[in-house]
Amino acid sequence: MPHEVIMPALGMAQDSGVVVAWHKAVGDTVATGEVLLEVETDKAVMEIEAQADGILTELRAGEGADVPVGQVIALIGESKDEIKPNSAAAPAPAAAPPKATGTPKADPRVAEGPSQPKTVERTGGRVLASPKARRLAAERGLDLGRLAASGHPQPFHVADLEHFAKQPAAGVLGSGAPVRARVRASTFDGFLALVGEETGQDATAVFAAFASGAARKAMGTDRIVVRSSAPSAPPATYVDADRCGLKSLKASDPQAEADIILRDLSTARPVASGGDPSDAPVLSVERAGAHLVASIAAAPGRLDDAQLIACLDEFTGRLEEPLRHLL
Amino acid sequence: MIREITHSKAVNEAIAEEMRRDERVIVIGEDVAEAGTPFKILSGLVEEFGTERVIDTPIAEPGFMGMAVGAAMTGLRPIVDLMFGDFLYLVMDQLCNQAAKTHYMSGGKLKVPLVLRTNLGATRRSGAQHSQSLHALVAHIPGLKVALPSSAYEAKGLLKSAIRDDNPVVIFEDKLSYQDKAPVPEGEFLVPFGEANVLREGRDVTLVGTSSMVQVCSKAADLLEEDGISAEVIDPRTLVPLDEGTILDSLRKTSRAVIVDEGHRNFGVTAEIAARISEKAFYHLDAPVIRMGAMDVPVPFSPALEDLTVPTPEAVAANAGRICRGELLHAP
Repeated sequence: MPHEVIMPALGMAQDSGVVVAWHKAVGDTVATGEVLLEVETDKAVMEIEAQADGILTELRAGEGADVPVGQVIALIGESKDEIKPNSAAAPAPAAAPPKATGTPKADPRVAEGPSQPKTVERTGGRVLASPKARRLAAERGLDLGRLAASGHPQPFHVADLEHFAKQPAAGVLGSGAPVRARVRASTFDGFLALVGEETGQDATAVFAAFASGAARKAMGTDRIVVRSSAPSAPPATYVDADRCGLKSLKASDPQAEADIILRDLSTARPVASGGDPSDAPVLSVERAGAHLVASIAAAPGRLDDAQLIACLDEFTGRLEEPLRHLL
Repeated sequence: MIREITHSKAVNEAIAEEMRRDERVIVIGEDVAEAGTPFKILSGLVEEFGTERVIDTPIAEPGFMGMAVGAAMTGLRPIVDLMFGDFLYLVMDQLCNQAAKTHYMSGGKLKVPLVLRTNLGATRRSGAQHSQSLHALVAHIPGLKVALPSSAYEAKGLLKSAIRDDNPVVIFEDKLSYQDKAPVPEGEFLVPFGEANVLREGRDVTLVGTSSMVQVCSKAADLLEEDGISAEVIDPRTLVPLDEGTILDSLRKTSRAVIVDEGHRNFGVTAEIAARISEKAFYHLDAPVIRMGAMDVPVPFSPALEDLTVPTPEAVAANAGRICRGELLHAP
């Protein structure tokens, strides 16, 4: 099987790239890491390196061709025998350097390698926008990539298109920014009053049990350790708090490494809280009027966005309807 | 001032009026005559029309359903009373293999003008085998029409249309709403199949509700209004045929939709409607289409748990609020 060279996605809003120049011709020997061609996007011209060793057996896009991202533009084979007769007609490599010489690293969104920002990875190089926002942007000639570059939070909806005319806002989804959700507190408060009467447990313990169930759903692990902290009480550690009845729930094993930290700020004004020695995700609960606001944040690499959202969703689902904890 | 009558009275009136109009119309099922029906819907019919036309059967659903299909093929217009929608499983062959396909397989020589009256809905403390909402099962079968009246008005108008239809029709009544009243005009009227009802006009989000969930959506719209969100509420009234046009027009206006139905959420009615929106109005969508249905568990017998399995106005309003505020609903 020959190795397929595809038009790479170099920017978030990029749909296609223009082949500026080929540095190799059909029949040339190619080594991994050698510059194969130059590609121009609306931001910059970049050198694209070969990802395989072998012989360049076919060029499918000539210089100047505008090629959709993901399309095969060349094949790297094992021997010259794989060269098809008609490949001779393939465009010759550029004899001279191309006209445009953008600085490839000028725009961090276009850069590749470990320094690439999280957002680019997480969106798979695409701008997240609703179908309608995308359609209206196209009709009005607006480049959603510019909005993304300004740091305006994604996904974009129709309402976000107004921000083209305004100062760009800060903060892109992910990048360690917490995800928040808000639910009405009344059902939970009724439940808590009943639980307090029947079992003597306080809000922090109930939150810990809910957090344990939510983390189990999100992480899919068999043992869940929750470390709770509240301004009014010492930290407590719970193991599998969702698997025992609320009546028999008690703190144990303070040495266990926490899978999730629960910060109960529901009885106090939010205060700056000290960092936890472990880098477990932190789930915070606080009150805002008649609502409970839960937020979750995790160190990079600890939980992905899907898990964070699943965990928060499950936790707030239980706040909203505490009986779910029993199902 | 239009009089108000209960859903159950509306059904009774529809059947009585059609039996007077057309002597081929008969009623057949368990406890439909002398014993009176469990929901007291058919009281008075046997006195007026006699046991020749209001026929009590043994407890044998496959048997009386088969008899009714044969009767329909040979000239009568039976209304089959299936006491609980859950018993559909017992009559699947008669309904889906025979009634639904006879007109097609006989090259149009035979018709099956039959109405299967049954019900749906949980939260009546009836347990897992008497609480299901199985309309999606029959809506899946070509050759069957499916109607879901959401009030006494629809109950009467849709049932009369069903009785006059030359095709087999399954009509699901919401057990919990039999005693709910609604304005129903005196005298003759029909509610045509394939015409959705827009209960409330709105700008920001379309709530499509069926049967028992129509009231849930209306109440959700009230809650949303308090938050400054204007919701449009649509009741499709029949699933087959489905009034796609009204739903798509609304979506093009609001750009957002929440679909609510009391059947199980997985592979259900809501999925079908959401898919049609995605296929036919994709470029108008400003948020994912949300589906809400009964939780995918057997309906619990515990009252507290049973109530949790059915969508509530608060839950519908919460979901609608999330998409109206542009919240992120899934990871990128």
